[in-house]
Amino acid sequence: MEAYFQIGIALVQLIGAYFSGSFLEARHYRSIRAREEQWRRLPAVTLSTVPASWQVAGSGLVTGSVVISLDYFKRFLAGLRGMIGGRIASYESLLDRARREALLRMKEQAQDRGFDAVINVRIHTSRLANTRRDGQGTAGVEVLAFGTALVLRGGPA
Amino acid sequence: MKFNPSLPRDGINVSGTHPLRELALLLVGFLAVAMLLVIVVGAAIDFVVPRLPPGLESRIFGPVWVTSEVRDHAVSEAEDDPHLDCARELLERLARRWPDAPYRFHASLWREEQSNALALPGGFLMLTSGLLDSAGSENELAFVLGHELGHFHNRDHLRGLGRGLVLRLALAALGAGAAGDLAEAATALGERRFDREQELAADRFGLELVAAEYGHVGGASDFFAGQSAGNEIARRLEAYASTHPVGEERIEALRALARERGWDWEGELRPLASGRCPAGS
Repeated sequence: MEAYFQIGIALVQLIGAYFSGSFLEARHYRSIRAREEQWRRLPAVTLSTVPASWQVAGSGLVTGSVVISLDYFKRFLAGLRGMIGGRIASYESLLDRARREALLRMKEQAQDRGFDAVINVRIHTSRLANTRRDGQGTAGVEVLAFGTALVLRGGPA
Repeated sequence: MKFNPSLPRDGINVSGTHPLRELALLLVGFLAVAMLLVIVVGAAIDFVVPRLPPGLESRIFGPVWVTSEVRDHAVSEAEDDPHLDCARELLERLARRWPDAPYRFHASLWREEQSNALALPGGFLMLTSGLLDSAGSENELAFVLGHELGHFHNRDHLRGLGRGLVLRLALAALGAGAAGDLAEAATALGERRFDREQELAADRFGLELVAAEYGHVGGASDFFAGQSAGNEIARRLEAYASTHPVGEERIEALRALARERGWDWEGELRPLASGRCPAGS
């Protein structure tokens, strides 16, 4: 009886997480696409030196950070996947969103502060430990994008 | 160097598989593998266990019943049944008639209306309270116990044990098995059907023990006799009968054996004592 109850709870969580996760993911992707289009012309590149044709008038550090959580459904899929190996498809979209969101936030910060471009962009990630007593498991992942923002005379050329 | 502001195609870093499709594939795959495992491991156990030497069997299974909830349950339930001590002593006495018995038998009580007795791996006997309550005489109970000892003797009790065992262990490992799960397993094992030949062979063994113990086989067939008489006890015996050949046939077989060996079919019956029932003169 107790076992059925537990299975029932897990099922409800699974279904709930699937619908809420799908809804939030679709909404997030819409936002990401729109903002990527919006900031398309603000360069964010991984060059560590300033291109020769750019005339730098100022610089600063810009960062964009996002913390994402796993949902029950994705975790369940990943758990199953973890037993046989292969691509954890359910996490791919999660991390894809996080990377793109972090870059967008970095760009938004650069725009806010009047910069024209970002060079030497790096993306870092770190795992947030779970609050469970054993310290095992993952509560979420932080993705941090940062770079050197530049004020350019005459814009990027 | 010219900056190219075009955006990459969406979804390059994401597999296109629909999550529900992924879930379905993984679940079906795992269920299939799990079922296959249960079947294969179950069959392997069914193959190996009957071939285990009894000593090893006792070492493996003894602790399972003795330390598990089955025993806890059995012990706590047993306190209030007046006949259990007697049944245990009876069992010991009968076991002495089988001197090279490779098991150390242990009987526990199962609170259950239906009259039944189960032979579990490792020399463990489970007697239902219904059996003790409905037994009309010590002799009748002795035959039922002897019959179960016959199953041990012929190692029937190890038959068809694998699948249920693996399934229960798997469930327990997954945490789905709450308290009393092993107890359920025990009863599930008791529902295994022995075939007609096995039952008759166990009957013969049981009768032999009864004859050796009492010098006659009176009362031995009372357990079945109730059935044909169609009385109240018979209805309670239905459950037992459903996994055993019908009484008439078995009584006849017992009679034939008694005639052949020259055992008295009638004799003085001992009442089933409450509390201790040491061997009489």
